[in-house]
Amino acid sequence: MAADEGTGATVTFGTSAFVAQYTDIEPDSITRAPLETSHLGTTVTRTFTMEDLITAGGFTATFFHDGDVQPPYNGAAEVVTITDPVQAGWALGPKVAGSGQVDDYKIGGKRIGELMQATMHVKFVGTVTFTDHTV
Amino acid sequence: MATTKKSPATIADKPKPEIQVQLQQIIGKFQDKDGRIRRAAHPVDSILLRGREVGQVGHTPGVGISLLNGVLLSPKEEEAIIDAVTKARGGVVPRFVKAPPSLDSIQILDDDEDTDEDDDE
Repeated sequence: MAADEGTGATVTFGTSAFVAQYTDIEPDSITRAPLETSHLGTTVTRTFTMEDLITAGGFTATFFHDGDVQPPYNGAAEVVTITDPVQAGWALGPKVAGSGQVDDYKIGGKRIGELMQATMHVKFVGTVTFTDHTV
Repeated sequence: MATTKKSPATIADKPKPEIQVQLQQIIGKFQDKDGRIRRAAHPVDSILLRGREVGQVGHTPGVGISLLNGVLLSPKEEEAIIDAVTKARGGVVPRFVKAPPSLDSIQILDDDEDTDEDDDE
């Protein structure tokens, strides 16, 4: 798959159908914690095993503030999908999808000479999946 | 003997092809704790218009349709999408079709709509 820039990427909410003019979508890392297994007999280097469960993180999105529309800041979990730009010749774009909820919403600040921009953080509360593009 | 002359068929007479809309459930892959690739289905469908993804809609009947960024639909295309989703959701009409508001206001015309261009004389 050819490298591509982010213009055209979309965030969709499967139940609330919240839409916005996003200017930035910054995913969190998907992490798993190392559990140390070093003991008094370990030599040279500390040893670790990885935790069974991963933390799927979420993402922070910045979008132009619209006073008439709010994200589902107190809504139930719903499928949140980040779709990469659908390139020419493709049928479906690559996706990251998972059950998510907004856990942080900052209303757009008001400043002279600046467009009002709001931010929200969506926490993935379940398994996150990856879908390949199709042609 | 007089014969009835048939006027040649014009493009306008030919039936317009139906607008093709498909719904396809989003199925993704993930790695389990042993590193095996597993698949999981989400209660959301991708909406394909003429074979290309233009939006997504949840499985709950009546939820709104979200369009992907950069998608511009003509009124007939939007109607075809709403009809397809309504049919797939047991006759429940989706609440709305939403796209991120664009700062440009252009109207997508259907193929058979007149434009305001003057005819050349």
